[in-house]
Amino acid sequence: MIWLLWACTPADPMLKCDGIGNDAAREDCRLAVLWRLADQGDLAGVEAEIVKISDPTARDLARVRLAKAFPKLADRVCAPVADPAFKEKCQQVTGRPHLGGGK
Amino acid sequence: MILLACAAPEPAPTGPCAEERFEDLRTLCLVQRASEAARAGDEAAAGSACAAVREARWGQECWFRVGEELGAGGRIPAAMQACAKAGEFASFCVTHAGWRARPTEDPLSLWAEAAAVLPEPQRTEAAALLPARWWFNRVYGTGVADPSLATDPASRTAWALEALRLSDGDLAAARRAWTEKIVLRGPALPPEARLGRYDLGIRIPGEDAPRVPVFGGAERLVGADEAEDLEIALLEAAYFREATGAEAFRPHLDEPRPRLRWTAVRLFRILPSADAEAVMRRLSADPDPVVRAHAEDALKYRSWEGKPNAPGLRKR
Repeated sequence: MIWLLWACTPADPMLKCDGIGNDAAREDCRLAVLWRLADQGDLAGVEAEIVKISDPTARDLARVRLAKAFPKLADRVCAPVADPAFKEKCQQVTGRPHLGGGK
Repeated sequence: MILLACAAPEPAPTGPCAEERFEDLRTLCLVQRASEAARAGDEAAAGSACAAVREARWGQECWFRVGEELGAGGRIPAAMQACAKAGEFASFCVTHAGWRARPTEDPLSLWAEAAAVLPEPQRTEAAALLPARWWFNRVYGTGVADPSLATDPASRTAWALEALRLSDGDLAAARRAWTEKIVLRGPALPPEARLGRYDLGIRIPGEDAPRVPVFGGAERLVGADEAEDLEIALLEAAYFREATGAEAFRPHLDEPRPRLRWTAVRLFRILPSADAEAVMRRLSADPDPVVRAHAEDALKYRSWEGKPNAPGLRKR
C-alpha cells in the first residue's frame, strides 16, 4: 500500500500541488514552486511550470501573485493574463515602474 | 504542546477587501480601493484602506497612490500628508501629486505651506515644486499672460509659457510683451490640454546656479538677474512647445551670460539638427567647462538622436 502511494505520487512539484484538496493551500503550493524559480531569475522555468496548471483561472491567479512578489518580472509574467479582473490587478504592478526596484 | 493548542489563529481580516482569499491579493485590492477613495475625495476611506495594508512596501505604495489622486484632485495639503507616509516613494509622490494638480481656487500660501508636513528632502522639493505648479495653473492655458504677475522665477516660468503660447511660439513677440508690459490675451486651453514637452536628467557638474522646478518634474536654471531669468524662462517655454526645433536655441549657443548659454546648449543638444555633431565638436573645445561637458556628453550619447536611455529624456 505504501509502495502504491509512493508510486502514484508525482515527483514533479507542480503536479504534486494538484493533489492538494484545499483550494488556498493548493494555490500557495503552486506559488511556492514558482517563487523558487523566480527568485533565481529563471523566467523560462517559471513559464514551464505555469503551463502545467491546467485551469486557466488558476494560471492567471498564479501569474498575478508572482508579479506582485517579483515586480521586476511583472511585465513578462503578466503578459498572457486573460481574465479581466486579474489583468487589472497585474496593472497595479506593471503600471508602476518604481516598484521594480526590488522584490 | 499546550502553547500550540492555545495559540489563537490569526484573526480573519474584516473591512474592505476581506473577501480576498489571499493576503497578497488583498493587498492589491486595498491599494486599489484606497486609490479610488482618494479619487472620489474620501480621505478617510483611503486612509483606512492604506492602514490595513500589512506589507510595509505596499503600504508606502498605497500612500503614494493616495497622494497622487488627492493631488490630481487639487487637494494639495491632504496629498502632502499622504506623501509624507509614502516612505521610499515620497519623492515620486510629491512630484506626481504636484504636477498633476488641477487648477483650484486655493491661495498660493496654502500650497506653499503644505510642504511642512513632509520629511526632508521631500519638504525642500515640495516647497519649490508646489509654488511652481500653482503658478503654472494660475497662468498657463488661461488665455491671459500678464507680465506684472511675473515677479519671481516660478511666476516668470508660467508667464513665459503662456506668453509664448499666445504669441504662437514667436519669441520676439513674447519678449516685446515683457519689455512693453503688454498683457497678452487669447483663447484658453482646457486644463486637460495643458501639457507639453519637458526633459529630465541632464545635470552637468559645475553648473552651479539656483534652479526652479518646471513642468513635469524637470528643472530650469534661474538667471543671475531678472533679464537673464526671463530669457531662460522663454527658452524653456520654447522647448515646452513640441513644434520648437533646435534652431530656436542656436542664437544663444555663444551667449556671454553663462546660465542662459548653458540652457541653450542643453536644449539644443537634445533636439535633432543637421549640424548637431559639428556644433558639439566645436563646443567640446570651449573654454567654459560646463559647455565642454555638455558637448562631450552629447557626443558620447549622440543625444540629438533621442535614443532611449540617452541624457535628455523627452517626455510629454
